[in-house]
Amino acid sequence: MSWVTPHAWSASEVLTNWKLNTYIRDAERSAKNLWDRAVQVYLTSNQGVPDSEYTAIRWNALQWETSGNDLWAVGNGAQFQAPVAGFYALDVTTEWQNATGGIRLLGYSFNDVGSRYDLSMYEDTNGGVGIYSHGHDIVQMTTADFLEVVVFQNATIEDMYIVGGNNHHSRCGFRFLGGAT
Amino acid sequence: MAWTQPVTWTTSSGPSAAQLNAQLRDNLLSLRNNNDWLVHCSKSAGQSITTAQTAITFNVHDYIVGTTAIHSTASGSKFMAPVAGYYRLIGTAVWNQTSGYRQLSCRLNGATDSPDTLNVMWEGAAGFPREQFGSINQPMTTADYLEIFGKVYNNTSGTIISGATGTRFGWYLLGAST
Repeated sequence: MSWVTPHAWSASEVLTNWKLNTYIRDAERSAKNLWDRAVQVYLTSNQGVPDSEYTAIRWNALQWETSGNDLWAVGNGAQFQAPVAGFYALDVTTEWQNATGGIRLLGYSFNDVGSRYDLSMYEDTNGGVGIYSHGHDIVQMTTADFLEVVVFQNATIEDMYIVGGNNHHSRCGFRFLGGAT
Repeated sequence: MAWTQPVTWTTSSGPSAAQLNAQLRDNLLSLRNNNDWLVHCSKSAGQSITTAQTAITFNVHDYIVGTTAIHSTASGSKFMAPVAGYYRLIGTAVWNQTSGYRQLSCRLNGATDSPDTLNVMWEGAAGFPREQFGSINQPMTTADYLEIFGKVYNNTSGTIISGATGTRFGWYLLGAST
């Protein structure tokens, strides 16, 4: 149910069942639905990350969502979109292939233009273990803005990958914080 | 639109138009506009960090909801609680390229090492700036504050990098205490 500006009541206004349903029941539903906007997605299979190229993660499976989710669609898996203006929180974890050397960088792009916002970086000098990258940020967005999570590695391994699978080791949460005016 | 505590209705107590507007219309608008307290900060200049715990200051508000009671650029290191409740601090520190360990921690009301270390990161050879994330959910009472501290090991100093894509932290109210 889309948001409807609350009714301004006037003196001597008669309360009818229509007004109670429209101005109270429906208004409360729309206020509740406004906050039912959160999603978490993951990769079901590995995704390649070419050497020294910033690569958008193409999330391909829904882990959970609140009712009425309109933040993400599998057909456009890289993008997290803002259905309403406001503030949004991004929480992302990625597991990298176990490989030695180079850096592992995690960040996001905004509307696919302008600056890239890096979230975390790890430099692997030891090898032998998988690397997890984590990042969080709050982003102010207007309607139809979108974010894409991007990763980078320069281990000189062309077929390095982000680990996918049903253990959700590579996952991303995106949720509405409020602030719409 | 500020939140008004809902009344408990009694028999023959109305409702008047003023009550409906305050209790229903304005509270719905308040719910819609929530979060009432949120700030996202960054820095306009780099900051040198040494082997001593150093409070990281923020003098730019990228965006703010509410007033500077949640964060003031004049007292730039403090993320404050204008109302009692549960708050979330998240963000990224971007360091320059020198080698050594980097530690992020936070303190509640200035107390040493409280609540906890946020992150420790080892930094290798030069090549890229180093992004170090940190997050914490923290119960606060009114006028409490959190500060983020940086510290370096194994070398004499490091620099926290400035700019919109540099060091930045967000601080917002998850929910007020009732």
